[in-house]
Amino acid sequence: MADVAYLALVLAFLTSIYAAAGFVVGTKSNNYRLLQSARGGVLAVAFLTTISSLLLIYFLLSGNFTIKYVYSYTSTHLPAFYKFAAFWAGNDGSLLLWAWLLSVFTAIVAYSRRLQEDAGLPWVNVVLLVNSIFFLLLLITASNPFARFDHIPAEGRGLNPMLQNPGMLFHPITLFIGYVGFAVPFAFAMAALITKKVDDTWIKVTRRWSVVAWMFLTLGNLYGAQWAYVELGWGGYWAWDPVENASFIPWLTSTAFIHSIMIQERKNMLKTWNFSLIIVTYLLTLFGTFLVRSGVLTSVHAFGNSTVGDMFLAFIAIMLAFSVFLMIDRAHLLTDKQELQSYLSKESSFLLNNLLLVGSAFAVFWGTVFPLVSEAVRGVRVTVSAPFFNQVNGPILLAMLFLMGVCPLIAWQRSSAKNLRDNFLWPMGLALLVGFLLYFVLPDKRLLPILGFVVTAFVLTTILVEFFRGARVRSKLTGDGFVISLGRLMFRNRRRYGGYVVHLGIVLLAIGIIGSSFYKEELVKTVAIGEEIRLGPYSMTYNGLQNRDQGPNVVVFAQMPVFRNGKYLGDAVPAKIFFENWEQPRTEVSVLGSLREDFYVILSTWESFGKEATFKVHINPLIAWMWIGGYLLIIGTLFAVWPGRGADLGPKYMRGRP
Amino acid sequence: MEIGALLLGAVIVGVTLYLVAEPFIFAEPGQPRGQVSKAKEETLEQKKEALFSALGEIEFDYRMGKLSDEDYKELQAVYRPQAVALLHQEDKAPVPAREKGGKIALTQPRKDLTDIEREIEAEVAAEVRRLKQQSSRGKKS
Repeated sequence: MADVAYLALVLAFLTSIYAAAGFVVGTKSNNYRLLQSARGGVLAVAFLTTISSLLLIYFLLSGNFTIKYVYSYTSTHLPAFYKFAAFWAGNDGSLLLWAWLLSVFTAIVAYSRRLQEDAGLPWVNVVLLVNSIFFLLLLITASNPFARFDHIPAEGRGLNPMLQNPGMLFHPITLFIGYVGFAVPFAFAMAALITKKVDDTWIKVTRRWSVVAWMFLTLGNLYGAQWAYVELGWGGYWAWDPVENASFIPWLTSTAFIHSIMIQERKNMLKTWNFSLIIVTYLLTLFGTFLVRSGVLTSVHAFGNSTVGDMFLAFIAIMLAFSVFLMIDRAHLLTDKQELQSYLSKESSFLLNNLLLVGSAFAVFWGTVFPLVSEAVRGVRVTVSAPFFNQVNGPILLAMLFLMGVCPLIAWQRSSAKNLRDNFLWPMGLALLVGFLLYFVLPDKRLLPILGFVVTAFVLTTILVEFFRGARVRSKLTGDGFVISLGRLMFRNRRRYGGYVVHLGIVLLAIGIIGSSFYKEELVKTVAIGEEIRLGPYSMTYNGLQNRDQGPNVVVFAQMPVFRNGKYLGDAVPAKIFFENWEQPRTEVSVLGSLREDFYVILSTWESFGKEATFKVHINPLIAWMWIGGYLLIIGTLFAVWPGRGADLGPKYMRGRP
Repeated sequence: MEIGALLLGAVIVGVTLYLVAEPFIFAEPGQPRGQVSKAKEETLEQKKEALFSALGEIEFDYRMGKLSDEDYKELQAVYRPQAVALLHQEDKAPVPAREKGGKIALTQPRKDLTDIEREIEAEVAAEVRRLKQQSSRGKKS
């Protein structure tokens, strides 16, 4: 059966080549039947990769250890949930997942009814199919998930215990949907350049794709952070690991993209910039994958295969050359007819936000590749660690946050000083008041986090004021009550107000990041049985270690009642799990969380059969707001892009050329 | 190779061949739709919707305090005459160009216009009627 799965991949590869060629020849020769056949080919590729993927899932679940991939990532006693998730635990499977998603997305685009009149559609398909050809080539040559042993191993090696977490289901899938999702707007952009139809049609058609892909990329990053927080046992959620950065960089450029396309939709400006941003975002999704697959990094994420790495690098170079050539060749079509009328306008604030995002992306990119460059040039790997990234990105992201507050308050085209004064007075006053209060109330007088909270308070107020004023104006104009006006305001302008809800989510995220980064408390303490650990208002007493069996694995844990200011909160149960077929034990942290803070306990080591044990204890303030912000972000995005009334671009006006 | 694998192999090859070959066997050699780039003309109704939406947003932004008096007046001076002209044009247009069912938009506003836009549309419509009355009075005199 593995041969059939492989055959499906080979057929998918050949059909992709046929379909791409069919679209090119069919378009040039105006051959309707050939174009339809090529479209059928797209569906066939989606069908074939689906068959391959389902077969791989079947092999994983049934424990077919003759298949090397199944042997490498599963074992008999692995729960079915993780057997399924092993699909993307290794290089070969995750590349198959990529190819599967890509082929399904391509089929959705090719068969989209409302796109059938679009002259660029065959070219969109060609670009997407070129991507499929590359991934399928990888799968049938350097990274075959169905490669077999000559013999039947009695048992599989099992899944890396660090990957045995519910995060394994959500983090890779969401990230991959985000990555692959950006291939679609990229393909439309390329088709626009090929057909020389460079107006905002490609942007309008792909806006939902872009925003939803962005949402998944955001979720992928957040789930990764949450997973790292509960699994890796170092007390944090973001370490500026190169592979974390690899998914953060396209997030930054795609965030810039989904904002700057609004300027083109409204003002017919920034054409070149938008093409550049989508090209860069797409290439960065490939680059991120290259970093993980190539083996140039050593990380919890990295599963190296140098052949795959070389092929990735070659493909990135080809796509870069192709897109840059098209941009240069069509440069004369990309000149903007409109110019910025004022620096005090919504569009200039968008532009500044774009520059900050791209600046941050460049800084993270440079910090990520610098060790590789230094190793290649000088033979010495220079480490670029968290302080560099924090120092460079902290101020940039804070400025970006500030702009997020400024932007809703100013109009398109230009704003007057009076408008600014009227609109900024309350939010700015309130934010400064929050700053003063925090300065006097908090025992920690550091200015930087207080500045961070002032900015978040400012943004929060401006967004809430925007909702309040909007509802009030609508209420006055229509005579409806305030609540009805607020509801109608939001539902009839879902795109705009969904965006504001996303911004609210980002504000909550920022509150969580500032709180947990600047005000965290840590303690490492070795205690004997009966001794107490105290940190801040928390206390707990060590009662010795216990153990229990979990299938073939052994769990060693401590159970300690936790008190906050003398009030019982619950038991902390930090543990280590020893696996039957893995040398390293896995650390299970114990988190007693609230909206105020997390009390986070790690069992580090023990001696004398548990008579003494060492614990790492953290207080991570406000961290829950990060996750709440993440969910708000999803709600806002879905609210904004859900099809139907109110989801389209809001009304637009401009001076000069309406 | 087991029977199941052979059958599945036959199915995947068969389905692939069918999807690719089907248009050559069954499809009419029709117009390649993907080839035709029809720059769809904006209909009168779409123009009207865009224009009244813009007027609605100008009104809304002004009342939200984002537009100065000067900018508001300037933008009104640009958009209102266009709206008046469009409603004039719509009055002259043959029935099918109007709302479905032959109802004139002035008396039967589009359902998807917001209340604010409807209010503006009514105002502009009143302006159109006033201008018409003036011109008919001018002709009579």
